[in-house]
Amino acid sequence: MPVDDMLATTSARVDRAELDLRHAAIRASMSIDGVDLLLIYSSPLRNFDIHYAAHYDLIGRGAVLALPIAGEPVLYIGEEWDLERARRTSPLADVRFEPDFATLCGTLLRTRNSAITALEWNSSAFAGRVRAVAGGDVRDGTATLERAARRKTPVEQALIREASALADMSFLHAFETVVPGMPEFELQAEMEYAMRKNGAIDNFGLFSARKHNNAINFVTDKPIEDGDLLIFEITPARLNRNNSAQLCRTISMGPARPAVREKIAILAEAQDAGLAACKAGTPASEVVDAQNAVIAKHGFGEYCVPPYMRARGHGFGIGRQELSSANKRPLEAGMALVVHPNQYFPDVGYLAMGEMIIVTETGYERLCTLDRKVYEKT
Amino acid sequence: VSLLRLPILIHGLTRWDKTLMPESDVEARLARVREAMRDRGLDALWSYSNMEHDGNIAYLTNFRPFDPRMPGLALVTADNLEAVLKVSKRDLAFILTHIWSPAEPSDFLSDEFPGQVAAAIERCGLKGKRIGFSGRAMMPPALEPKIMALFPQGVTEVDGMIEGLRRHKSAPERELLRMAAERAEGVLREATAFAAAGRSEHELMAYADYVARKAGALDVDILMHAGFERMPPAGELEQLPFRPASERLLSAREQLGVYVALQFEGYWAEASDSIYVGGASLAERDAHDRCAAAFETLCGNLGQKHRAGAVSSWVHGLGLERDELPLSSAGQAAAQNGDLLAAHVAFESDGARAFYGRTIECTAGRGVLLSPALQSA
Repeated sequence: MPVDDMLATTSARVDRAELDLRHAAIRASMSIDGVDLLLIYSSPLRNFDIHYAAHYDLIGRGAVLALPIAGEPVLYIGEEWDLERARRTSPLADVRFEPDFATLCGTLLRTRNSAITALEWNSSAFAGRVRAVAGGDVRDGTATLERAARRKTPVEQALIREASALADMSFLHAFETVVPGMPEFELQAEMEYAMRKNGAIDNFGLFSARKHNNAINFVTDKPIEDGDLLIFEITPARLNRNNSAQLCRTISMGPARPAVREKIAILAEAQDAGLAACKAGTPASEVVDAQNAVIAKHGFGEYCVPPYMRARGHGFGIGRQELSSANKRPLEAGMALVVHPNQYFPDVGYLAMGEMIIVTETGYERLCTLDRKVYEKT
Repeated sequence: VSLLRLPILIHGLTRWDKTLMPESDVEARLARVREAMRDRGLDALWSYSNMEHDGNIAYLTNFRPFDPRMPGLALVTADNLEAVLKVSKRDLAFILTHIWSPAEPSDFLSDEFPGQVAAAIERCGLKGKRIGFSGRAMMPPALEPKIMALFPQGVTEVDGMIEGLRRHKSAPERELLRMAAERAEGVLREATAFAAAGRSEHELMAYADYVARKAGALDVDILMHAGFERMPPAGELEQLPFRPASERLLSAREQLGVYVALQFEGYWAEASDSIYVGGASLAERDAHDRCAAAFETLCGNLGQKHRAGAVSSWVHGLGLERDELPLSSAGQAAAQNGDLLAAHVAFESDGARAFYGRTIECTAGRGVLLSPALQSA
């Protein structure tokens, strides 16, 4: 079935062959866990699982894909009026309307060796009804799905590269567009538009402009002023948040103070060190340690904890990997991550530096094309 | 019907503008909540909200969960208001700039939430007190038993209590809704001017989104309906066929339905209309006129059981959420004076289609536009 609503800016197509590839990965994971039927459930709070598994852009109550270990999957959607679009856009052959997900899921979960994903993202009332119909406890299949989705397919990687290019473009557009007096939310709107008109469907966007930022936050109506440091987390998504890429950078309104340049240089060094640690097999925590070691070497080790920083990196959407000191799970080739040594310094405040990569067997592919510097708007 | 789509992150203009929502109005609101608690014999009220249904905690504290991982619990007692929010300390510092209650952070990657609630129970001396709880069924299955275990004496479930209070909008709330409706109207107007053959639906969505954000929207959702897609059956009350934009290029002559949901200072307004790319034919003009007339008829019959005959329609309450009391179309009969509503109509005659929807106020039994509407598509 042709898919007619892909974005023109991409060469990547989520067609049946792509879904077959993803389903093969999920089924391999199901085999490991001894699952014969996996119900991949998405509520509005977690719409990305169904997008990954069925290429359905969720609207309304929810959707579930019933994926057997062998045989045809069935996509059930919760809005009857959207059935025509769902059948047009999902490459799957069997798409149905389902008015009662709890009964459907509970009934299907009576199947031996069955499991359901992301029940934790639904209400206790829904989960209770599912369990009641299933006749007892149900097995959580979230980890089964997450394991399969950690390594991005070539199509997903292509979409993430496009998202990264959108982030770069948006930042440069902001650098070009920003003028003193412009409220934060207006610059955010300019950046959003630059990304959306070129193919982003949404953006995890944080941006703050202060002379001394404590953190990156949401935009307010504060006017941007000379001397402000503008810190950004720009995270456009292509087709769905699963295909997001993040860029973190800092703009100085006017020439940057020497102390700012010095701290940005520390972050650039930390960025280098973090990326140098990235390759398949490296525990995620080592990427964190590499960044923190640089910041500590320069005398700011005591600030390498919350609230002076939040995290040293992570993935997006399904198969998300956290770069934290506690996470010893090895990186895998095909993982897509942002590595960001974003950091608060007592003299200059919070500064932003971070880049998107795809992990390879021998290292990483850097997706960001921008310089590691403070961008000075003069 | 639900057209709900949650963004990755709500990240538009975030603030508490006290000139638009005065502290006196907040105090009056909390007084009404406490009165409702007294009526039910409650010493304290806990209210759980998540990003999908965030109206109650926004009503009580002005906190709007901006990320699906970040729900919150608000606590109201006779002399206290506070919240436990599943957000990082870093985010809380910003959140405290625009909420009107003290709040405790509970990092969203941790499992501290029940412990934080337990500490609040201890701190506020709530053990053995009569506790009301709203939103229990919304809590995730792993969290719900942990929270409920903190109330060994049980709770009185009061789902619907705050929603009922939210239905009655104050003057500042009505003004915020009017401002939101005005902005939604502007988005429709700009989108209509922007639409042209060769531009994609996605570009049109991006531009409409841009107009909304430049106008200070906290959040926005733009949905579409193309002429080749299925229309709802005539007389249908809950089938409004708007869906996310595609990359399809607009043709030289086509009819396109556009739906705008826009959140301003926390309050949602909606608008829908038809855009006739390349100009409307006589049949399309007639269809749009008849659709607008059906909208007027619908507005004139609020409060009565009414099936719209040749058109399909959708009416529901608006406010801090996109779907508030009175809930959807079966409830068209339940509208009361003072209700703030979205009313949408879809109409088709001999292949000519039209949509018309606006944010209205129920006054003297009929719906009155909150913002001057476009005179023609």
